[in-house]
Amino acid sequence: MLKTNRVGYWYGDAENKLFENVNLEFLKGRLYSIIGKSGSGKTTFLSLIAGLARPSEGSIEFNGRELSKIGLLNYRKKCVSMVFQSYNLFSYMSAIENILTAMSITGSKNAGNKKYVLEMLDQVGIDEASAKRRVSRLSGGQQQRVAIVRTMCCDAQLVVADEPTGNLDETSTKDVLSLLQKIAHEQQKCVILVTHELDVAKACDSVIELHQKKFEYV
Amino acid sequence: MNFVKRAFLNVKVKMGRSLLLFLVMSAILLFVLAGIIIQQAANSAVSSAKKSANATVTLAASREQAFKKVSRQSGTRPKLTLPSVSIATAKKIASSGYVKSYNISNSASVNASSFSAIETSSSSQQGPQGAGAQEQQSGDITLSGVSNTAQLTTFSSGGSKIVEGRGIKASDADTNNVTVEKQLAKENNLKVGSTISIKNTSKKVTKLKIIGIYKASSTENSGFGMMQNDPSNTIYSSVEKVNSIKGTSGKATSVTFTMNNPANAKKFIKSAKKQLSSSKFALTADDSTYRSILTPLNNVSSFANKIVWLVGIAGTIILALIVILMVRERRYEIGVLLSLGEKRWKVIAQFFSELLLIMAVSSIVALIGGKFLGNTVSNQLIQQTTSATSSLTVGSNQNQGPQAGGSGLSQGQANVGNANRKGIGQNKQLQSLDVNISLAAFLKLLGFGLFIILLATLLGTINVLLLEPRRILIS
Ligand SMILES: Nc1ncnc2c1ncn2[C@@H]1O[C@H](COP(=O)(O)OP(=O)(O)OP(=O)(O)O)[C@@H](O)[C@H]1O
Ligand SMILES: [Mg+2]
Repeated sequence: MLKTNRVGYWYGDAENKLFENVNLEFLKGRLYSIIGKSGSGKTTFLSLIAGLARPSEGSIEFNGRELSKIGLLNYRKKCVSMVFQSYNLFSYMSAIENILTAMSITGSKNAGNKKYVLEMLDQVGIDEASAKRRVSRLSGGQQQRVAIVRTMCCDAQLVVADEPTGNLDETSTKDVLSLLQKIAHEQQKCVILVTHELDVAKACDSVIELHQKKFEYV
Repeated sequence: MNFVKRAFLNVKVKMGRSLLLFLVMSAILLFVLAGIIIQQAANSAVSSAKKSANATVTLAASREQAFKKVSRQSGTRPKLTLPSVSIATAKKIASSGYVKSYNISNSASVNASSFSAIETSSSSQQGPQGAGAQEQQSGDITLSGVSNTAQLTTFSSGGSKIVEGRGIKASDADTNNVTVEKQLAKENNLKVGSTISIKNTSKKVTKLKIIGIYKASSTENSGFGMMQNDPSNTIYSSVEKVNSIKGTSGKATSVTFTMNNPANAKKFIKSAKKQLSSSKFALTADDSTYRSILTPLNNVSSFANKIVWLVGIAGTIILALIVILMVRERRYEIGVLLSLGEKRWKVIAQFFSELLLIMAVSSIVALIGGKFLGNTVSNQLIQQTTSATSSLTVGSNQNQGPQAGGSGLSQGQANVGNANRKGIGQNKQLQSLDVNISLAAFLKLLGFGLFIILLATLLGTINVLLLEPRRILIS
C-alpha cells in the first residue's frame, strides 16, 4: 500500500540527516509500530508518510502513485487519516460533530450519517449522552477513542498515529490498542503508529526501529 | 459540517469571546455609521442648499471699461456713457442649460404727470445734484422695466411684497401695465385699475394702468444709492414699455440670469463670455448665499468623511489583532482541519464567517445607537461651524466697506443688511440638518463593515497560510 523509495530527510543542513535511504513497504491489513530514541526523527518520518511534508530526497508511493502526483492536500483528504497524542479534536464541538465534520471534509461515503457515527461511538463505549457533550468535557481516554472512531469513520486506507497512547493509563491504552488492531485487521486498513511503550509495540504485527539514521525491523 | 456551520457553532459555544468581539465590532460600526449619517445629512443639505440658494449672474455694462474710455478723452468734460445690453443677445445667452430663469431690466427716469411723486428731504436735496451729473436722471419717478417682478432679488428675498393686485409678468410685455408702491398709491389715492400718466424727457405723455401695488422693503433702495429719490417713486413696468418711452428698442440696462445649480455660475460665465463679443459688458456672479451655506456643510461632510476612514482603519487594525490572537489560540484546530485535507481558504472563510455573524448582530446595535450618536455629533458640529462662519462673513463685510469707498455709504450698509439676513437664513437651514438612517446609509455601513472584517481576516490569517500542518504533530 505505502512504499518509500530511498527517502531521506533533514532540517536545513544536509550534513545532519535524520535518516537516509529509507526503503520500507507497508501493507494493508497490518499494524506497524515505529520505535526509537527521543529526537531520532520518528515524528518527522510520520509527517512525511502523512503527507504533511515532503521528503528532502527520494519519493513515497501510495498504491503505486507518487504522493507528489496525488497532491499532498488531496492525499491527506482521501488516503490518510491521523491520530495524535494530544487527540486534536475540535474542542467546541461534541464527539459526534467532530466526527461528522471530518467525514464531510474528507468526503467519506457515510458523510452525514449520524446513526452510523453513534453506533461506532457506542462500540467503543461512548454512549449517546457523552457523544453529544462537548469533547473538552470528556476524559483523555474517551477523547482518544473519539479520535480513533473519527479515523474509522473516514474512508482513508492509511492510518498514522503518533504516540496515540502517550497520555493514557493502562486500561485506556489497551482499549485504544485493540481499536487500532481492529482497524487493521477488520477494516483491512494499514495502521502505522509511533510509540515509546514496549508493550504497545509488541502488540503490533511489525516493529520497526529507527536507529542511527536507519529503519530496521526488530 | 461545512465552514459556515462550524462558524455558527464556534460563535455559539465560545460565547465569551464572541461577546468581546461583538462589543468591539459594535463600537466600530457605531462610529462608522455616525460618520456615514452625518456625511449623508451634510450631502443632502448641500443639494437642498443648491436648490434653495439662488446664484445669479448679472450681465451689464462694464463700468471699468466705460471709465477707461472717459479718462482717455482728456480735456473734455468727463461723460460716462454706459452701453446697453441687447435683449436678443441676452435671450441667446439665456438659452444655455445652466440658466433656470432670467430677468431683463432697464429703467427710465420720467416725471409724474397725473399724480405727484413722494418727496423726501433727501431726494429733494440730492435731486439737482443728480440732474447735474446725469441728464437721464432728471425725473422724479423711476420707471423700472422688468420681465418679472417675482424674480427680482428685492422680491424673492422677501424685502418687497406685492400687497394688492399682481406683479409684472412676461405677459405684460407690450401693455401699459405697471405696479406702483403702496406709499405712492396712498398719497395719490391710486388703486388697482387706476390709470396714471407720466411724461418722458421730451415731455411726451404716456398713460399707464396700475395692475398691482407693492410695498417696498424698508432697507432696500433699489441699487441707485443716494442719487435715487425715494424708493416709493419706483414704478415697475415691462422692459418693452421702458424702451418705447425712452425711444429705444431691444435694449436693457442689465440682465440677471438665475442658475439651475449655483455651483455652475463660473462655468456659465465662461460660456456666456464667448457669446459676448464685446468687452464693454461684464458678467458678475452673486453666489455668496450659496457659498456661505456650502462652507460649513462641506466642513461637516469632510469631517464625517475623516471619521469614517479613521474609524475604519483603526477598526481594521483592532480586529486584525484580535484575529491574530484568535488564530494563535486555535492553531491546533487549524492544524487538524489542514491534516484532514481542508483547503486553506475554507479555514480562512470560517474565521470570516464567524466575524460576519457577529457583525450582523453588531450592525443592528449600531443601527439603534447610530441615530442617537449622529444627532448629537452633528448638532454640535453645526453649532461650531455656523458660529465660525458667521464671524467670518462679518469680517468680510468690514473688508468690503473701504473697498466700496466713496461710491456710497448706503451701499455698504445695504450689504451688511443683506449679509445679516443671509446669516439668519443659513442658520435656519443648518439647524434642521436632518439626521436619518436611510437604507443607503445602512447598506453603506454593511459594505464598510464587510470590508473591515475582510481586511482584518486577511491580515489576521496570513499565519494560517504560512502554517505548516506538521506543526500540529510536534506540539
Ligand atoms: N521544524 C524543525 N526544525 C528544525 N529541527 C527540527 C524541527 N522539528 C524537529 N526538529 C528536530 O528534528 C529532530 C527529530 O525530531 P522528531 O520530533 O521527529 O523526533 P521524535 O523521534 O519524534 O522524538 P520524540 O520521541 O521525542 O517525539 C529533533 O532533534 C528535533 O529537534
Ligand atoms: Mg515525536
